Amino acid sequence: MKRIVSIFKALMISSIRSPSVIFWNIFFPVILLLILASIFTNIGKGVSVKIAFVNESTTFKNTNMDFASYISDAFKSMSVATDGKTPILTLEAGSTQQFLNESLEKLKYGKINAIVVIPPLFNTQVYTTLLQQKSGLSLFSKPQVEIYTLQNDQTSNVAFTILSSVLEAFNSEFLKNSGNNSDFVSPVIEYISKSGQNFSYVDFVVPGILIMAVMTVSLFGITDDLLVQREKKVLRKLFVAPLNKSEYFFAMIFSNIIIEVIQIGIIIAIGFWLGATLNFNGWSIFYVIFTIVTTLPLGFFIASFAKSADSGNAMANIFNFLFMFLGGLFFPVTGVPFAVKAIAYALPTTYLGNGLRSAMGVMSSPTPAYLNVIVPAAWAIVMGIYSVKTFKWEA
Amino acid sequence: MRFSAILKAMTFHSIRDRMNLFFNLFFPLVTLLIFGYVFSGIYSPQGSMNVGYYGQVLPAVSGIKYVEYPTLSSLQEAVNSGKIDLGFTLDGTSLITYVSPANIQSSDYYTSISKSVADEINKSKGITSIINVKRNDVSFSGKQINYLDNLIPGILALSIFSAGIFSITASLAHFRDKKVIKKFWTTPLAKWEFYAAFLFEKMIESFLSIILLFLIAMVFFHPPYSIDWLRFIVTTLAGTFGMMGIGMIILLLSPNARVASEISSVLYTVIMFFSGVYFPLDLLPKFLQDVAYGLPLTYIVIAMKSAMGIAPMSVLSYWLTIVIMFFGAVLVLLGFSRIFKID
Repeated sequence: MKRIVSIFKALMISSIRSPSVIFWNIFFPVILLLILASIFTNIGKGVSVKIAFVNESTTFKNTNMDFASYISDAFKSMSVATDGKTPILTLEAGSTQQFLNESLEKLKYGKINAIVVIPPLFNTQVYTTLLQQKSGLSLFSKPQVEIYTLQNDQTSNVAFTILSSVLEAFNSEFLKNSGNNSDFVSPVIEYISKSGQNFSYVDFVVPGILIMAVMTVSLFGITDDLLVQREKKVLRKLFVAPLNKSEYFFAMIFSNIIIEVIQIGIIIAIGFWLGATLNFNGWSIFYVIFTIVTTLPLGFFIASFAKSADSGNAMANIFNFLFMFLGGLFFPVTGVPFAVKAIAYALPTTYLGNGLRSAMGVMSSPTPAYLNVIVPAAWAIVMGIYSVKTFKWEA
Repeated sequence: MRFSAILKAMTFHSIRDRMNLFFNLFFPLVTLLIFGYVFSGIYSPQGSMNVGYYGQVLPAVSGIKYVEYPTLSSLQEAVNSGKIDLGFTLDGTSLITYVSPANIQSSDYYTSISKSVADEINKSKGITSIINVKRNDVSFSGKQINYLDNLIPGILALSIFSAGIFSITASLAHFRDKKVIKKFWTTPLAKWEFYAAFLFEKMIESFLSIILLFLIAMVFFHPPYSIDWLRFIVTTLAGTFGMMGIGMIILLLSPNARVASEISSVLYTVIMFFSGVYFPLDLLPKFLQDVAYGLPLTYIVIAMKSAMGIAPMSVLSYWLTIVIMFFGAVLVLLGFSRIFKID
């Protein structure tokens, strides 16, 4: 026992003194969490989009039927900063064809995000359409507002969503005035969570980052403890001393678990600071422990399979990448070809992610609860048996 | 003569170095394939969507496959567990659309689907919008560009970044640590011949790996690029060279190859999220946008997209970027090769 404690202390001191261990195990998960949270909780909220407003309308100018001017005023009010916050729009306005052409060029070059074009007969067409709605006739064409966006540009998509919401509000207002609003159906988006509490992307990503962090310790920490030390002949020297392999093994496991506990604490604290809503009950604590236990054999497996520290590092990188992104730790794996989905459903991290999110009350698991235990456990058992049978303590 | 001999030796060394092949070719390839499939699935969902509803039967909308749920809670549960992409229920004049926040990246797409369903319901009641909204997508190239087409040049830029930096912090550092360079100095080999052969071989290696990655991307994903080959070649070479300069700075700050490699890995992992490869810079918070525009990789990504004909970059900006990258690297490599200690 004393020897285990001594080796444990030595391994812990070695980890604390290693900037790379500290960075990859503590700082990197935190940085990644902050990056993903800042990007994806920013979408559609803190974004400011640049709009060109082309008002070609020529009829009913400066009258109370100048509907185009109401829309223009709405956009102008959205381009004014309030309470020191960045305005949602930056607006450029014009009414000529030349302005439209220049705006289209700017849009192509990404200098603005969208263009709204109000047609010349807009006011007349709104008025006649309102009359038609009342009478049930359909003699005149409806006004058509064109919105130009940059293809496959996410900021442009956000701009379109904002602009079409404003126009939708005007539609509803016009229908109300025409007496047809009572039945007009409008979409309302609701984000839902398992617990019924307010749920954000941060809730989704914190368990994913937690699994990634624990997995990283096993993939890189244990691989390093075994392969690098074997290559440097440190293990050989250690076993010359009165220390047996199982003592070194337990000390190594224990030191890695301590690092994992520290990183879990830090990630959860940062998650709460970012506003995550996570439930901590017996099941979620059990599942965190289960995650630690089932990811530990990954490092042993690589150490048993790889012939050198370099090849172990390469394998760890590939495993890490596959398990992180195809395991859906940061984004759900949707809309992918069948073969990619099949690989995703064979990975333990897919089930660990589903199980931990379910246990923490973030979302219901898309996979059955028993599979969330059986699949990671099966991976761990197979890798564990393989490692025990094939790992060589000496190069 | 000596130059060609050392170049040949360097080439053999690179080919035989499995780790070099792995990190320069295989790893970027895996990255390209995984990110290609995962991110294009998130941002440009293909095929029909599974949409659940509770209560009133909803009108058919193309691209949607409806599944009826007997209770509201079972519908919410199905959305929450990811069994269906969206859930609808009509509550008076509100079409409540249930979305899982896990799918926030696809929220614009889901909003448009919800709007289409609401429009169809209104149409079926004889109510139509007063104002029609028509969306016109324009693109710089005039071609249909999807998320993946934007991602591929970013992955190539990442490969240029890693090939350039790691060629110095891994290869050159290992030569130093293993005292290979010291041994070279005992031969009649001039220093410039060694450095020139080293840089030349690494440039060729990087260029070939980029070309190979590009070809694989073309075969797997068929992106509709209009390639400006001059810009493509110049960006690859100047980018690699520029990143070698950064690699040299890292190497000089590091006591050994392992530390240099670690610093490079950290830099690579952090920078890749801020350079517009995976997420558009406009969507980053303002302070992160400022960070992004201070990173060299951001400009390699923009230059590579312009070389592929899918993003604009003026002639002046492009060549200014290339000149800064090229001469910056020349200065760094020349300057630091003088203080680069072999022992």
